[in-house]
Formats: sequence, structure tokens, C-alpha cells
Amino acid sequence: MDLFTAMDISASGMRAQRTRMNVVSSNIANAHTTRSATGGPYQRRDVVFRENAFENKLSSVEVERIVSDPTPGQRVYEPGNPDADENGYVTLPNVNLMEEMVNMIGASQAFEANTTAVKAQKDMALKALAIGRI
Amino acid sequence: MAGLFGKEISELASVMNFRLFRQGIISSNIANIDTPGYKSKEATFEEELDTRLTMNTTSPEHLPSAGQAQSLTFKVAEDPFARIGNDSNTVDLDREMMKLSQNQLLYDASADAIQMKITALKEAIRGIR
Repeated sequence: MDLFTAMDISASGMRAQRTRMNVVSSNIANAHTTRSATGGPYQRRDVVFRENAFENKLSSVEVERIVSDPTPGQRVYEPGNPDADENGYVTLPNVNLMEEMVNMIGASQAFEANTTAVKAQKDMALKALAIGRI
Repeated sequence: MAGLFGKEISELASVMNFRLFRQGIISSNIANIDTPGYKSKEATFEEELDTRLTMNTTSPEHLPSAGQAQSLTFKVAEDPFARIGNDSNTVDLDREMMKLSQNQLLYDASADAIQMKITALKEAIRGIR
């Protein structure tokens, strides 16, 4: 472990939270998308974090994968919509805006906690560099 | 490191080393705040320091000694005060932030103590004018 290991760990946390934030953003942006790349309505996505243990029980975090949520979306009656089925029902994406907002605040706070940790580590490094200076 | 610098500076340096390592453990906890199943960790060296600072005395006339300076070993274990969230992750952000600033302060204190030692040595070399 050197002076920058702790900073690398915090950086991995920031990277993971940013990925989570990006996924939340794409969920919110696609809250009404009925045509996804794979066909059918957009499926909300979620990140899976994994602990990445290295030397001396220190561990950074990484995004293992981004998974699609297979929960069926809400069906609304909209016969004029080109994506409506023969009964006039459109299946909307399974995005719940409340849930995404909660996720977003969680990601934002965790990101902030990591930046605070980086700042603390930077101050510590500066303090160590100041030893011997008079 | 003996002689001019004595063992205090090397002791303080190993304390700083430990503080830096503990900062890494705290950062790991904060980085893994949303990792399912992650268990909060805590680094300790206090017991080790206690056993080191007391030397065996075979006679009641013996003066207690401050022990020998050597590299500090520390233990990492699961945090015994952790609470469990609903994804079986045991990181408590408030506690981690508290530990973060506490640890930083103690690191700074050791750095200041080394600084004071060095200043004192410089004064002794230069002589007080």
C-alpha cells in the first residue's frame, strides 16, 4: 500500500457510482420508450457492484455487469399508438420514476462520500510532505 | 533508527503508516457502500502497541521500559459495531465518515509530532539565539 492506494480505491467507488448514475439517467430518459434496440418496450437496467479485494484486505469496487429488469411494464389503453397490440393496449417500460430518483440520490451521496475521502487522503499526503519544512 | 533521531520518530512514522493503511480500509468501506454482501472492516493496532510498550519486569525494582522500535503490525477484522442493511451490506456511512476525519486528525497529529521533533533537533543544532 502506498500513498495513492487509498485514492485509487475511492476513485473506483466514484467510477462505480458514476456508472450507476448513467444507468439511472438512461432509465429516466427511456421512461416512455416503446421501441428498444432489442424490440419491445425498454427494460430498466440496474448495476451490479462487486467487491474487488486485493492486498491486505483492502478492496475497491467494480461494476460486475449491468442487468436488465425483466418485470413486465405497465399496460395502458392507447389505441392510436403504433405500438399498440390488437386490443389497443401499449406496454410501457417498467421504469418507476420514484425508484429511479431514490437510486439517483443514493448514487449522488455515495459519490460525494468518495470525493470527501479523496480530499482527506490528499490533505494527509500534503501533511506528510510538509514534514521537515520550517 | 537510533542515535540522533531516537526511536520516537520511527515509532511515529509507523503510526503514520498505520493511519495511512486505516485510511485505505475506510476508503474501501466507503467505496463498497452499495456492494451487496460486503462486510465493513476495521483495522486495529492498539492491542499490539499495548503489548509492545510494556516490557517484562522480573523484579519490582525494575523501571518500566518503553520497548523497542520495530515495524508495526496491525489486524484487519470485520467491524464489530456494524449494522446490517437490507442487502446484507454492513457499511454505515455516518460512522465511516466519522472514522475518516478522526483518522485524518490522528495522522496529522503524528505528522505534527515528527515536525516538532525535527524542529527541536534543528534548534539544538543551531543553538537558541
